[in-house]
Amino acid sequence: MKVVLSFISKLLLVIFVILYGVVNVGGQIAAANASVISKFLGQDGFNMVKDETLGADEELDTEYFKSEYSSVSDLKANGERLTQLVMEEGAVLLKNDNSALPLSSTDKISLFSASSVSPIFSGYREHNDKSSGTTNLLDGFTAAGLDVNRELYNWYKSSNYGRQYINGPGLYAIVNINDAPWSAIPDSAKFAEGYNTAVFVLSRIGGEGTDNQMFDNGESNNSRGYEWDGYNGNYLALSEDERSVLQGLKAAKDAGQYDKIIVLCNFTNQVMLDFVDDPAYGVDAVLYSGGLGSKGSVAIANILKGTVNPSGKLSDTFWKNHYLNPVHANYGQYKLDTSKIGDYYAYSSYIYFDTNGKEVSTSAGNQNGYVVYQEGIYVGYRYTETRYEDKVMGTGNAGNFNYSAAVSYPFGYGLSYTSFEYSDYSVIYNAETDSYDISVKVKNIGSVAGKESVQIFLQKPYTEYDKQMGVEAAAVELVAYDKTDLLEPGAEQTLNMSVERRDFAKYDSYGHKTYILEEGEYYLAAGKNAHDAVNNILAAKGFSTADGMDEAGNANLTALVGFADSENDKRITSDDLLLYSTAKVNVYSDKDADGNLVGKLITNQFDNADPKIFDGGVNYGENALGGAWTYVTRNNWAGTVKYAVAVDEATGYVSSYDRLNNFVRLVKTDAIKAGLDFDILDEAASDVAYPTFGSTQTAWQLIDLRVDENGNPIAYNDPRWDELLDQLSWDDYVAILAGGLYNTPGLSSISAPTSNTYDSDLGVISKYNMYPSGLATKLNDPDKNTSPATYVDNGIVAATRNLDLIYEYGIQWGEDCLWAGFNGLYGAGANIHRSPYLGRSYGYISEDGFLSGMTLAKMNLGMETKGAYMLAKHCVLNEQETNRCGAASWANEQSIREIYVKVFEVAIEEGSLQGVMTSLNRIGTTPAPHHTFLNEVLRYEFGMTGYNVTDSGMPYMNTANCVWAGNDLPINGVSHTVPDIPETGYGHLAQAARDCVHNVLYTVVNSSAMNGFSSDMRVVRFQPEWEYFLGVATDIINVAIIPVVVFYIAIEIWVGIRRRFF
Amino acid sequence: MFRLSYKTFILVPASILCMIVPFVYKAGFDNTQYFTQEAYTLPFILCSIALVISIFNGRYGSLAMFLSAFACLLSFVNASYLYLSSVFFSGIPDTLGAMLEQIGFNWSFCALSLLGAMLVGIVSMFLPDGSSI
Repeated sequence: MKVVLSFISKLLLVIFVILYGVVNVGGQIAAANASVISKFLGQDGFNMVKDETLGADEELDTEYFKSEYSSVSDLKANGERLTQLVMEEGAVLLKNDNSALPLSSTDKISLFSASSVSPIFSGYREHNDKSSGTTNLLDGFTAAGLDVNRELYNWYKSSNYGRQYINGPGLYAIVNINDAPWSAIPDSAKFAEGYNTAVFVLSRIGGEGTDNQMFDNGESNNSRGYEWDGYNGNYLALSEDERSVLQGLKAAKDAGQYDKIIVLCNFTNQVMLDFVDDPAYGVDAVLYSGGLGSKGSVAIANILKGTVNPSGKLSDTFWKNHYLNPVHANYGQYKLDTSKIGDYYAYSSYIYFDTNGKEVSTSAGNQNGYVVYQEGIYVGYRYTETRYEDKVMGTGNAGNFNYSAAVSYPFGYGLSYTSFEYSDYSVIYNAETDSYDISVKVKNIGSVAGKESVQIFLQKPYTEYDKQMGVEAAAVELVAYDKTDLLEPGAEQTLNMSVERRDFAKYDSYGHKTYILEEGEYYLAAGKNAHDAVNNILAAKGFSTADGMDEAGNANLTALVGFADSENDKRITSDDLLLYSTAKVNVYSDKDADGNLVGKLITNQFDNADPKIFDGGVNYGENALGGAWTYVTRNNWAGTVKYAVAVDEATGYVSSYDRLNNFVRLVKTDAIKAGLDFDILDEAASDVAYPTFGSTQTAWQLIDLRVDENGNPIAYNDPRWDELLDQLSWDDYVAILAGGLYNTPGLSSISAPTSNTYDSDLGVISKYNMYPSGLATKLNDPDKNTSPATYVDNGIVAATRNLDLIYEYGIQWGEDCLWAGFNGLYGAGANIHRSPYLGRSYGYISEDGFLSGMTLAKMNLGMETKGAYMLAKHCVLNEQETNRCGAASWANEQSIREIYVKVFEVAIEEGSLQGVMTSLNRIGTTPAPHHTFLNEVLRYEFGMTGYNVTDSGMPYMNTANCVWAGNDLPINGVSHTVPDIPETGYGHLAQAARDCVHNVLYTVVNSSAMNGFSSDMRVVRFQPEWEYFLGVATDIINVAIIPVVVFYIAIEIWVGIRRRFF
Repeated sequence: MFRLSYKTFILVPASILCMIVPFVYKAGFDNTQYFTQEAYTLPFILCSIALVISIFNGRYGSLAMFLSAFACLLSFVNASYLYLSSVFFSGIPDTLGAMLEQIGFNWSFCALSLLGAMLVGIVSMFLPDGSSI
């Protein structure tokens, strides 16, 4: 009896003590993260109720954003239709020798490669195999009337070949190609009777969290026995097995068993195309599709058959040889990290050195990784075309550069089944708009109907001042484009475009520290691609193939402007030097002495990200660790361009795949350490006045600030916003700032509803029944448990060059949001394709900021029609996935502004992009929630009015710093504890918090979150169920533990007495 | 005066282990948002008490060990749970070994030591007292 009671008392004590600790400490943690938990449980704690006493207009239509569809099936069908349409206009025909395409009616297809049965639909590794509503290649081709070799298809399907995800398809995945060698394919299948056309499906996939592999670093076999079977560990090279299949097909073609070999480039990360013109492989045609999306296979079949004429233009330079891309001398995959992830090695960014040249620790809170964008503005075609031009002109110490060794297909390239002739090229200065009006006539001179995109490229002069001051100028930059309608043979159409004169300015990082417009010769050239445009400009300058041009140019498709001899030109003189050093007028503009609105003065905002300036330039020049280095300059190509391996520029021959130490070595100086440790709460107090809290002078509800009495939207800087913000309490601020995770929190004091956001580069992927507010749930649609169409890579969307189609695509994304209950999207992707190895290339658009920006602008304008806001991501200098967290990106101001920030500038100014998601890296020493970037640049210069959200937060971020930086909504991972700022001295932080709340509420009031909301609706806070049950459980345990403790003590005393006395 | 039992020889090492925890915690998390003075100092105080009780009385040393280690564990978790959020932001590996490796030595050592000490205390509570030494 004694033993049993003692045992029971101890057991109860242990159980209740553990429960007591768990519910009380767990309750504290739960309370601190209540909004996050509520979000995951689908209990946001707010109800919308009608206040009958207010008597709003019953006739008012409160569905401010309406759907065009009556059912999910109709909506999905349109989404799938669009994926087909976008693929038909975005797929790029790269090669078509001997008119191999379109296929004849008698051609029959054998699909080769393991990827032919499991192609890339979505470039997102984790999502690809779960893609919704997709049509595989067999079904797509068959539906289009093509005859496909089923024996071969079924053999691949039943085989064990195909992509392998080492460590799963998730964030740390490394992908093994694992294709079948030629010898493994049964003769009966590969030589099936009558199948004369081989289509080799060449697939590569990317994903979040990990970049693709360029080097094996000696780890060709890991502990699980997998091999990286890209050539020499290079995932973006053909594997030996793939080469064997192409070589086998060439032999079969020579033997008369095949007539044509076609390569379908179904990759999201560009594979080196060194094989396409190699006679050893005998490739006749190459078609680039990227990820197929839902119905891309049907589109590809239509192109192969010729029922659709391809018209896509490349959104990136397609390299023949990635080792000749100078970016890779400073690309993240350099060091074999000593910390393994599971069985797999991860590749880190570069690690800072100490002053003795020894690497500092790889740990310490994501503070030690970095990458330097040493190539400056020379990314993609800006490098290849500029160095090509200098090579032809004999300038810039172009060295042994050989364009054809580096590039397979230039930016903007794309063939058609017909031919187009450009004529009547005209450039006229328009003083009223301060822009150049450009027109060009396009005529279809071929035999089939087709569409053509005309691309306008700008060449700025490279002056002596530029050479002295480190200002760079690419040979060409894309500045405008447009696409014809479907032109029948013989038909013609004149396309009209416009280029603002302020686009002629260059950013001068070190001299004037602003945009400058220099005197000199500016060319505006029409081109079928970037290389064509350079050749046209070279022709205008008097160069020819005799000078080394690889093709003659057409001087008639260029206009020399900014020069005295050109017609209708506003001459650019030295007086214009600082003409565009102020931002355009926007909602943040101030008035000058005369009462005129003037744009913000533009000046350097990224000095803390440029090693040439930061810390007195100790990491740059003669005293730099590892010797002096400079950014790549066209004044001295051979002296400044570095490569990752020993590669011959003239031939592309790689003599050794051992990684060279050509990267920039940065010392972690005390100044860098101090920058990394910055915390706004450590800064000195300020005398900035605190905002007004709890004003009762007005009683605005959020709905009141949607439109004015005339139905016009109320502007961001309308005085009524100040009045509404004055009504709020600090607790209201905290409720907003601490509650953002895939939503903006509701606020009962002004009846602000919760808005829901979805996180994806490629539109909504979730099911349509995500939220009760979605139409699918509201209407109880029978297909509400299904997902939207799988959308194609964003690079393919841009490749259409069809802005109307992209706008329609954006509307579809907005419709998906409306039906699933989302009011905004963390996407689309907006980073730059600095390297083809970038894991998330599928979600980002291009190597060119203008093309990316225009694509986002049109997508956003489409989404906005359905009340869905876009937060483009990830801001900024986030061109690396592996070890992206905390890694510092260093670059000069010109490249930041002209390449990486350009995307956001164009998207905001042309497409009213409302907000961004910041990235996990640092900009120099400062985390991407970067005060001057988000406030001074995105808002004051570009005019952005919505809110910014963090990506998942990291230890180096905290809510106070995010708020101060203008990163309005910190999401998960950032401590949601909003500091209780002192009542004096922190007005600057309180004002920043007020701005954040303003940005969030302004976005919400203009979104579909207000659907169904009239002036008599109120948002009422209630306790979510989980909070209630947790509270009850805590109370019960807190009470119950008392008798348990008493029982234990009583038993102990009793046992003690028995021991002592009995 | 002393009621040393075989439990004492289990509890004393557990107490000492708990007192090493703050040093490892400080080494890994000092100057981060995951470091609090409470989580740092509590093991010194509570585990010292548990150590003394264990030496004087193995029977109640077990209870003291359990309560001390559990309180320290809760305090440590409360201070540093967001660290796990950042570590596993990019996904959770599929093996325990990989997971621990990703978490890192410092956090794993602190958590496992305190958990282990707590379990030692619990198990010890249910063991027979045995004779005093």
